Amino acid sequence: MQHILDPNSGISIPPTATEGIQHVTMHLPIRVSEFTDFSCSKDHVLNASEVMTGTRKAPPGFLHFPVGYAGRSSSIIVSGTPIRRPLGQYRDGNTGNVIYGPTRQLDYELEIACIVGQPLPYGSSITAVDAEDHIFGLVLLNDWSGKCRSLK
Amino acid sequence: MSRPFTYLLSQSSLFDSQALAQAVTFSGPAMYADHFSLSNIPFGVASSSEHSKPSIATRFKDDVIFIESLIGAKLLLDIPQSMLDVLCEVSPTSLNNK
Repeated sequence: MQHILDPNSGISIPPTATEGIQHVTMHLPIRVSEFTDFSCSKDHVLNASEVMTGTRKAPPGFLHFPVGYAGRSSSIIVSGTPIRRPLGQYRDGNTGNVIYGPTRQLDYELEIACIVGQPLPYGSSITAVDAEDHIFGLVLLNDWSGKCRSLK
Repeated sequence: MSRPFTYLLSQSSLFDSQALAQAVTFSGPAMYADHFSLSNIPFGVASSSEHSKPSIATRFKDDVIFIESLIGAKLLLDIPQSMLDVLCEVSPTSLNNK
């Protein structure tokens, strides 16, 4: 593909193949059956802990296994889609009351998403050495997260 | 074998409903031309007025190149037919319709 796209290669691409980026619509390139959101950056975990609880503390398991949780597949959308600020319950800092409304602490998190193309049979597992055989490709992903203080 | 990369670039701005129409015709993606050199060949799914069925495409600078057109021009002959079939066939109903 590099050779084909290289302007110096002498290969001519049919004009109908090419359109300017501003003239195309991008679509979600995969069907997301499920995804796991991992939290493996120590800096991020401590920052998030500070925002949500006031103290910088990693979860107890952080140094023993990659911390992750099941995400909501339908929340994955293609870049360019306008984002609506998420709604939720949180404690208003002024009144102390629990209110429902747009989150006041929305962060964005640059992440790498691994698309698994080769599944594992149920009940089996692999080690990291063999992981690459199961990864179809990588994408950059922006994880918008509401980081309101937890309800205490 | 090199792995395909797709950049799903996100916008850092939040839009309210009134700005939505304006937001759809943004020129944002064209700001990333220098991200897409020959050293970064991405793959994604795109459609356009000329290519109405969503299909696999790549990008070089600010140009989106539809793979099926390259296959039609016999430019990807050293790829197995089974993969060519995949590159040409994208069913919109099998994807989240986004």
